[in-house]
Amino acid sequence: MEFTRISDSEISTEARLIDQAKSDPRRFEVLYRRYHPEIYRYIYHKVRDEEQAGDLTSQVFIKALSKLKKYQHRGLPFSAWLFRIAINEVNQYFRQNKRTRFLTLEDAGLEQLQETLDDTSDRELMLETLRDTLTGLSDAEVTLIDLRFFENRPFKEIGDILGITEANAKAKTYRIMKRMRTRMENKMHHEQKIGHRH
Amino acid sequence: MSRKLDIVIDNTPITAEDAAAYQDFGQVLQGHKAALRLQRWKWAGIGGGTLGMAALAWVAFGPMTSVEPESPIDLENEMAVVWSLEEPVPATPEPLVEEEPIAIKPNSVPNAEGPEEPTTTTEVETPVPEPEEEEIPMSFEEGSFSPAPRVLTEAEPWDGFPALYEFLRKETQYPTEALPDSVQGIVWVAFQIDTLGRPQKVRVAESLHPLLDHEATRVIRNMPDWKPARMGETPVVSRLTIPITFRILTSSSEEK
Repeated sequence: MEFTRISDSEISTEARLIDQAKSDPRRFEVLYRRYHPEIYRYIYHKVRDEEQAGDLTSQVFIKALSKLKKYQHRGLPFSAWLFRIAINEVNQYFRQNKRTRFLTLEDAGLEQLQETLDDTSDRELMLETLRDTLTGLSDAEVTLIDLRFFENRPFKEIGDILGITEANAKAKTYRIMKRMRTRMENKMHHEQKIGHRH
Repeated sequence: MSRKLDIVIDNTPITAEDAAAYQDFGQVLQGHKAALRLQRWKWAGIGGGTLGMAALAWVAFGPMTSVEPESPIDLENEMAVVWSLEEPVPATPEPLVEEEPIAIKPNSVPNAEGPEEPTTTTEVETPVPEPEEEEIPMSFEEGSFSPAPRVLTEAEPWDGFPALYEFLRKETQYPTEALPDSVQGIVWVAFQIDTLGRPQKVRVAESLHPLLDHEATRVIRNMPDWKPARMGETPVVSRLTIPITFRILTSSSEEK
């Protein structure tokens, strides 16, 4: 997935734009147009409904604009802050209704995930166990796994988004992965046994 | 946990164009305004409501009766009130520079149109009108998301062209070192407006004198931000050329 990488000078231009937008909301349009596609894509991957993704994305930017006065520039790309709002918005959306939360990935991403999980089973079984395992995780844990393996974000950026260090993001992710691997192994073992019996 | 979760393999990435169908900055501004009003109403509601209740309680039960706490704010109703208070939304949020189009020449023909006759010292000329840019029709009606046409919307200064020219006029200083050469005329400065609205790659397209060239590019580099151009809904880099006119106003002509 494409990710807007920006230079330090762009980060400081962004900071200036944010300051301007605090007093003149029209100026927010520049940042809106810059990040709308990325936020939309992220949300669409969770809800897999275009209209719904469009609405939620609008909500994210309305919230961002309304909270802009509280925004403090810490040398991070503005997108990190937007993502944090988007994550909250998505989590809240799924808490409020019983819709299915999706995790979307491409073939390449799936292979990488399979590698990380040391998984050698066939694709269907792997996906099924992965789904069951993820279902048992907390919102925060799913978000972490999603950002890293489904959205393919670097740890540095995940740290920026979640307000933790890069090292911490990495450690947390691998701790969850380890737990997932154990659960998956158990489950597959169990399934193989059942399969053997029948 | 009662979460329903599914994994989808999807090899068709969402493009910027897919997202563009759901881009509507007017809606965001409107939502923001409504949120601000909601906040104000909330405070006014709590303050006014409590006072009103207190007064009512006093009248009804006399000073000894304790006042019932204000019922929790009915967010939904309040929202409805706030939204209904919204003024009808204009088709374009802020009609910018429609009345006074001022020319910015495309890079390809920097000097195609001759300079005008400026009158004062170190004057930045107010150039000839350019054909009007096409505006993307923006509709804010709900559910009217049609794919945005890939129309080019030109970059423009946030405060409009007149304000920009005013800025350039005030900011441009005739370099005194160039006075002995008594050079006058126009320096055409070419530049790009990047997707954040900043001038980039500022260079002289049509030179006059090294010192005047230098001054002209300095002023352009320091000008206020622009609203970036966009192709459809996507911000794009645009190229522009602006004329900066230098005139020496002699003391004799000043007296006249």
